[in-house]
Amino acid sequence: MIGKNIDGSGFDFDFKVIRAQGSYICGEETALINSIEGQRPEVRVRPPYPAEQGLFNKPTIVNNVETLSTLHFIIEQGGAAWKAIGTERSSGTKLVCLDSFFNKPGIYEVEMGTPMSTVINDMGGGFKSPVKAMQIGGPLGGLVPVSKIDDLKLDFESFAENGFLMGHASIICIPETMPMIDFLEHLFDFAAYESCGKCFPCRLGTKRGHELLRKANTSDYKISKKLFEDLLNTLEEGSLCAHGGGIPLPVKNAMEYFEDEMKGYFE
Amino acid sequence: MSNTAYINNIEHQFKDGETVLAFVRRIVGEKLIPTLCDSPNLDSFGSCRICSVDVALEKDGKTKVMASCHTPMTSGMYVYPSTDSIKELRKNIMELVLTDHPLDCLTCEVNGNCELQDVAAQVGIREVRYPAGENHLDKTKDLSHPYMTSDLSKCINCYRCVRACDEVQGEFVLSMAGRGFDTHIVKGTDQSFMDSDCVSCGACSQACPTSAISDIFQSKAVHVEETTRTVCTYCGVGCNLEVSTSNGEILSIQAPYEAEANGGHTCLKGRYAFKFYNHPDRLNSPMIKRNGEFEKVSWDEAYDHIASELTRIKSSNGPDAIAGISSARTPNEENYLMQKFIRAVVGTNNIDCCARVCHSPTALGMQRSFGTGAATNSIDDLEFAEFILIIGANPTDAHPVTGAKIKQKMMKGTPSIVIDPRRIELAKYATYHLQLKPGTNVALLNMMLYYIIEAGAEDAKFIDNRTEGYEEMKTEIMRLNMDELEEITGVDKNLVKEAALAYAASKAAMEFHGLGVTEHLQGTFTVQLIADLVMITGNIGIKGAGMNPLRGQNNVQGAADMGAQPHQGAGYMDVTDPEMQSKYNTFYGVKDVVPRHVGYKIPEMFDAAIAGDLKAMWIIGEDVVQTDPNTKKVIAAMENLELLVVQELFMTETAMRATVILPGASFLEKDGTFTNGERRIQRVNKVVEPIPGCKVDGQIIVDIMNKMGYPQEDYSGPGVLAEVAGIVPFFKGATWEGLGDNGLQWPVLEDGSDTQMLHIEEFKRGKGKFHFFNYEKSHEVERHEKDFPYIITTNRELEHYNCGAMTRRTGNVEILTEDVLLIHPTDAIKEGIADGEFVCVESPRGKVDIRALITDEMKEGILSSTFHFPEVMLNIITSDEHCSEAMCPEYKVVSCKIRKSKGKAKHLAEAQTV
Ligand code: SF4
Ligand code: SF4
Ligand code: SF4
Ligand code: SF4
Ligand code: FES
Repeated sequence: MIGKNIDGSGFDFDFKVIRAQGSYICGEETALINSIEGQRPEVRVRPPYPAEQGLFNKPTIVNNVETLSTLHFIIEQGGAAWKAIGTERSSGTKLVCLDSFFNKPGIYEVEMGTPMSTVINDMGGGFKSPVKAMQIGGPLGGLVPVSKIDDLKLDFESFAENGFLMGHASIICIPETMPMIDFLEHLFDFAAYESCGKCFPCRLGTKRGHELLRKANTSDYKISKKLFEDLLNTLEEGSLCAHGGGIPLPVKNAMEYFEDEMKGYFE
Repeated sequence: MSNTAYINNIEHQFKDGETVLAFVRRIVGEKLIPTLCDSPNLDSFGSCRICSVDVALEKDGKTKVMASCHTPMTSGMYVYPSTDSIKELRKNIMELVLTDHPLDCLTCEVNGNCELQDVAAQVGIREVRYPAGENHLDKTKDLSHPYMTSDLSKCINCYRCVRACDEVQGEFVLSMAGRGFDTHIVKGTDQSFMDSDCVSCGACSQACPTSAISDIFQSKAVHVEETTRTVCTYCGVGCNLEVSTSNGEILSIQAPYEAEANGGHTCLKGRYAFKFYNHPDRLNSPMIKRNGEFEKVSWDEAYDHIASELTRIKSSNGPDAIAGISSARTPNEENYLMQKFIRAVVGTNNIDCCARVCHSPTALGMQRSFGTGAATNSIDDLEFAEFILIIGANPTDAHPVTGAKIKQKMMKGTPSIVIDPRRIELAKYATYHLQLKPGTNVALLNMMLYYIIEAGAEDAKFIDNRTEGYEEMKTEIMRLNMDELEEITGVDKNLVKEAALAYAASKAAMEFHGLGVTEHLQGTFTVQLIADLVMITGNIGIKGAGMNPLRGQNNVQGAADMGAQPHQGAGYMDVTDPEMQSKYNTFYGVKDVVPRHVGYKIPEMFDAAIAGDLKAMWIIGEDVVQTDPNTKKVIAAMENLELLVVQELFMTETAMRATVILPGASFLEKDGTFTNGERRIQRVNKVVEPIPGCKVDGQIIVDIMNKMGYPQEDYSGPGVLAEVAGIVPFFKGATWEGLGDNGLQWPVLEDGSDTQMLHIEEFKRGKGKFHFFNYEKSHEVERHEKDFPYIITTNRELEHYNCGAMTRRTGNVEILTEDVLLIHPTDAIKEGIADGEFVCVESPRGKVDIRALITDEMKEGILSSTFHFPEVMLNIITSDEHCSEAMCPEYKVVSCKIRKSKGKAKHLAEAQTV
């Protein structure tokens, strides 16, 4: 159903698939738009929102592939049928990717509101080897200790209430054997590497965060608690987009749930 | 929706479209919210986040941190600009910035005037708590360029320079490369300033908050004692400059952001090309030529000599044996005095100025069509223009600040037409480029008129209500044969039609033209046809439209306004009108001295000198030998004079031929006013005293007036302006005080109010007048095309100003070192000429050798070059053909032939390449 005057409807529709070049920040809609324009993938200020001035300054809707894939169902069965699935505020289903620490790794389509224990134990078949926490919802997602599994359901509300973030809901496991500081060091390294470099807090803060953790991890240097807190707040409140703004959440989760493990690295 | 919002719970009204930052600054003051990436003439960008504030939707409600510079105000917003947590956040961001910034403020050029330093102090940062980490402190300096410098170890990645280059200049030289912590500024394709496409406008240097990008004059350094606001002396854009001095010496120049003429921007001439002012070559003593040698004399001796010579010539040959050329580079007041001296003291109308060789057809043509020979609208109107038409002008080189604005508009998609034989920079962005053969403007404009009338796309209401002569013009136009005109112009008639209809369809089309219109046999007619085009589409008297000549010299508008022309006195009153004659005589306090016959125009002066009728000339600040056409003839004229007084800054080609030289003063050394191309009378303020031995030109004229028995008060800008206001009707309300920083656009009414747009309700002459003119082939081509099959058309380059006497004595000469000949690749192959080789260009008048630059900017058979350098003396080959009406020389159409140079020029070329 593409082309001019589809089925005599007077409606024209055409599309073009553009292959991304693999920059994480292009998950941010304005950076994505910039990159499609052939510019440096860099976050734009809002307003103007893409819906007003997006690609080549024309109104632009930016949606996930996952969102678009639901259209099929909604067109066929109607909005009410879609709304009937899931919970009150989180309708429909979610595609969840379980990593190789699960006995049955893979992508599952899960109805919103399903208890996380069902996802992890029934669908994923439990862990292959001992896991102490899971990062759910991508690199900016919260760090969920295994002890919290029973409190969570797969929907936006439940994650938010518990101080996590559902994000894309996919799960990366952190094995018992991995020191939490290694994980955080890696997380900051990733954040620094993928930062678009536009705003000061993220460009500088992710780098300094990585340096602090590495120094504490590889020498007897102890990080000032206040400095680290200041850094996380600066990233969270000051950053232009959710990249810099999102990194503090898993770090703060780690500091809360793995305090014993982390305190040795701090003053 | 109301415009009510709160700052710290106190109610205020915000303005539509205001950002939180602008709102808080307007109400609480400039200083409360610090910023780093924000800059007055750039779009907000949101990179530094230092401007963050707390915002809530209800009183003392839950707050959210927002960057104030790019957050628009909305109704009911509660803004808390400096809560404790916000102060903490700013401090923490600043601390991060300082982890990658050298802490050597004491040796930094901007120490004491650094925005980073100021903001650091403001947020109260005391220490950097982070352990030493990776940084960029080892970046090396770029000192490759005569003006621009960079030391990117000082860069804080605020992007201000990148945005200035993009948004203000439109050159796209600077960009960010790398990502994350590796993000860094690059020039061009990671080149040096010198190798990049940088046009040295300095916008980035002015925008940079640190010394990371700066200039050799360290324009942001604090060793300044005083700053003086004045107006650029180069082109008719009339950029305001802020000149820093210390110990009476000029250090650097910046552009005031609130200047209406240029809003914080300049080109490299205004900002950087000022070092000529105290160059060792400056003339510094009056000189009299005796036995072929110049001898330094006292001012008194020079004055006595001139006065007695003038008196002698006047009594033996009459006042008409004396003529003056005033300078469009000098203020209104000096032009006024010069024409007054010639008219009321010498007693002749033999006074002209360089407007003759540039926009005299514009003044005449627009007077005939509208009644006023000046731009109808203001440059600011560009904002409202929905269409741009450029004819025979190359604004990005010759009027760079206006050129940059036009380019920005075009790049953002405003439809446009460029009519030019060269593919100039703007042609690359234009919707239509009508690349006509030089000398065929009239034919092309007639085609446009034809197609508009044929399609019925004219504005009938405007034509009916506001104009006359339409039907006659229409009848003639419709008789023309488009195929013939297509052949003549060399432009596809369908393209012309499409362009003409696009122009006619626009609601507000703004026209600009330059010397590519005027410097032709049919220069004045072309101007009148442009007026037809503007009127037939109703594009006048409304915002964003009008007919806007881009005046060349900084004060060429003013020189004509002041009466430095042989047929009209100060304020354009007809000298042949008995009533006006007596008005002038009375105003000047003389009896029957100002004559009632029109004086010589510049080309007529040369003819008269050769014929022996003209015995004495007085030339101020114009190098006629290098810049007027047909050099050999001009030299013959100069050499035939008994007295040639030249008032100059440098020993120009003309000064060398003087009998008396008087060392004048540059614009930096005097008071007065310049009138820019949009009729804006702006104050020129003395920045430094004239260098020893020189005198303010106005005072020189006053001295000689007094010497010759006419009492004239000593020169002062305000004093002479007051006198001018007494005679020039459209200066009536202009006072020194009243002009203020941004000047006023004439007519300035008695109550001091000024005029942004002319001909709103009716034309100055009542009804606008349509004219018809048929195309006439250039006589030059008609006569010589057989033996001289190429046409060379002259142009200007960004870096140099006309004869180059000033710009060649600045760093600009390191950027552009010589005149070159632009030649199409096919012609180059045909003539066996390689890029960079010397070419001998020969016209019926003579020949010159120029280095070839092969470029497809030219059409086949058409060449182009400049006359900025005396080494080439291009005007040896130009002709003394001129506009049939205004006698403006035909610099744009010169028949010539070319061949590879042999002999001397070849040796020269080889010597230079070794
Ligand atoms: S938070 Fe990071 S990724 Fe987002 S705009 Fe700032 S620098 Fe770019
Ligand atoms: S001087 Fe002007 S053109 Fe050159 S880089 Fe700076 S802003 Fe761009
Ligand atoms: S060079 Fe200056 S203006 Fe450009 S990003 Fe660096 S600090 Fe900002
Ligand atoms: S030459 Fe013209 S554009 Fe350049 S600074 Fe001077 S007035 Fe402005
Ligand atoms: S001034 Fe607002 S983000 Fe820089």
